Amino acid sequence: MRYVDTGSMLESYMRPKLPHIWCPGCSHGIITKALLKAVMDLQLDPDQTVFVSGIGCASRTNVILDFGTMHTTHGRALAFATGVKIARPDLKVIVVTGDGDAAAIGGNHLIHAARRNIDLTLIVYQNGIYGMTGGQFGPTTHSGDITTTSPFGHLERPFDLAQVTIGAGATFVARSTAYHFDLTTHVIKQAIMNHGFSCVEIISSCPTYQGRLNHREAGFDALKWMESHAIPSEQTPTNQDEFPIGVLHQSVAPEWTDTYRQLQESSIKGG
Amino acid sequence: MNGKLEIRLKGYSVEGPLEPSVALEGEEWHHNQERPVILINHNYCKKCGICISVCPEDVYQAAPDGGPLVAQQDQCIWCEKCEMYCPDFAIILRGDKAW
Repeated sequence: MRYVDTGSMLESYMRPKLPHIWCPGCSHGIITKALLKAVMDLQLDPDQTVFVSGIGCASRTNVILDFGTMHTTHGRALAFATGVKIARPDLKVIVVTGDGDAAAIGGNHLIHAARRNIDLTLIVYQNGIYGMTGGQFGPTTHSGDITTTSPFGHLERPFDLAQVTIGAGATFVARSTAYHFDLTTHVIKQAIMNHGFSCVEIISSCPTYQGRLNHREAGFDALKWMESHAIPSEQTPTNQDEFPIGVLHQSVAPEWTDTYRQLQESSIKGG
Repeated sequence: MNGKLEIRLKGYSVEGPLEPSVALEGEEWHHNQERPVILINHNYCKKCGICISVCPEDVYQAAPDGGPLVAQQDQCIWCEKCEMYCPDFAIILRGDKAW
């Protein structure tokens, strides 16, 4: 039994747009492969699945995927996706953004989409840096990391995206890394099947800026860093660099488009 | 195998010293259930070296330009790690696994 079938991915789910624009060693390609494997395993219809993305390296995923795709404005991917989902609740809507897109400029959209519990799947490629614009620090940059705008080490504390979305009311929150390919596929599958707002934060890498400035220059160094710093979600982190991976939160709450349809039907009956 | 996949596989070339000719001829690659046929697209490959580092059996060696060179194909245990971790969709392992 083959585990990864790149040939079928190229054939069924990708546009002939390769090679993609990501840098040599960037983990975004690995995460995209895991995402496509999850979509393949669930046998989603490309005509009934919409991928929405914002601006940034991670959002370039939409360019190579052969689904219904929307490449929207910076940070507003969730707002556009909310519109798609309200108009067509029968479609699967998957939002692919980077951490700067989701947490910084789109932070407000993120917490309110999670609060509404609208049936979207948010996949955040989290590499802790603004890679496309030249390596500036973002809200998810680790304390002490050297970036082009923090040459003596970053002073601020990072944003924990998973905890933010749990606090805002998301019904499925998970974290994985590009190194843990199988777990990534598994949590993306669960997130797509979840009826409600699901957030999957996937730790990625930026070899060109974050890696080069923090002694993880080769693509494989970043994968090794992920392997050594990720801990199972049952354990508690011992230092600030460690992060838990796995399914972090699952709950049940009324889904927004369902309640909206109920209101619509009851008002038609009542009127 | 339908026509669309054949078109998509056009940039991929069969690598390695073993069985070079049979890989792209339809069903022919079912002959060996122990070892895959390694296809690499050198136009997609960005020479990041992940496949060389991640391989547990040192199948790949770095070519002078930094790209992968299939050196010890008979060592391959078909773990699919190179195909899994290639960020550029450049490596495809063809064949029917025995397990």
